[in-house]
Amino acid sequence: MFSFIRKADIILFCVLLLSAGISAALIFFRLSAPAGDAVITLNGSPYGTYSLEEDRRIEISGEDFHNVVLIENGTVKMESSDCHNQVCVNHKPISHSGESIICLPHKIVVRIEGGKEADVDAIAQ
Amino acid sequence: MPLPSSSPAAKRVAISALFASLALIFSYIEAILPAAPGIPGIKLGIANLVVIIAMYRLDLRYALVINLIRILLAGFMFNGLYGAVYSLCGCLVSYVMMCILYKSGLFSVIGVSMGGGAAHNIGQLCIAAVLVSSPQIFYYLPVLILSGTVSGILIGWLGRVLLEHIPKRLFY
Repeated sequence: MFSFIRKADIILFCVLLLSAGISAALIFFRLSAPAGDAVITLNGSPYGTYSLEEDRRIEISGEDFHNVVLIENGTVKMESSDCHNQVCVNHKPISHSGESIICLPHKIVVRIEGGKEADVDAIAQ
Repeated sequence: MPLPSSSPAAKRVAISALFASLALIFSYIEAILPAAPGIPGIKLGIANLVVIIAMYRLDLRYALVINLIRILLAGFMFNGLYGAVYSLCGCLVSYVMMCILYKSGLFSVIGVSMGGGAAHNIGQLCIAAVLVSSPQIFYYLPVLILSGTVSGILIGWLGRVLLEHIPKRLFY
């Protein structure tokens, strides 16, 4: 019944399967690599922009405040702050575009720009 | 396979018109069938059956013209303008691919149809990426290549059966 199938047919079939597999792999790797930037503003003015790809610790200090932002495994969190309410320190680590951690007493905003979109939309957030 | 000179022009025109209307009916059946669950764009492509028969029994040019007539009429009747644009891009890419595979002489009907099915979906995805200007749509690529291949195999197998059973004297 299937004896009319030629060798070239089978090769083409394998090539198509392979290309589907390769494109799936490429997409998977792109999805799993969120490469955005953490943009920090202090008192409303830009303080610095840091890539999420490399782990680093950023100290932001002035006369009466000292904050430490930690970038680790593509996520950003406020490691420590000497503010009185500690809301920023208790905030969950952020990694998606548009998310932010705000330390209101010290007027520090850490916001992620570019990179992977959040899984939920703005309303659900 | 060019038409032999014994085939009168009137007969070729009549058969082309018959095939175009048959392809249009297949398009309509596919348009009213519920779409495959989950991902849009997965369909069988029954109309391509007609194109394949035309390709093997009439001529490559006839297959193209039949396909274009089908897309134009389906666009006016039920697919809409955007449907026609998507359809046109998919079918042109698919047609070029099937011509190459057919002319190479290495492939059976199934191989030709399989390559055409995958090429159709890739072509549609490209025009979709342009129209909605969002490269994220290429996340569909693996699924669409697979679905195009599978439906191409099914259509190719059907085409093979039909080519065996439709009497050749219908065409000459």
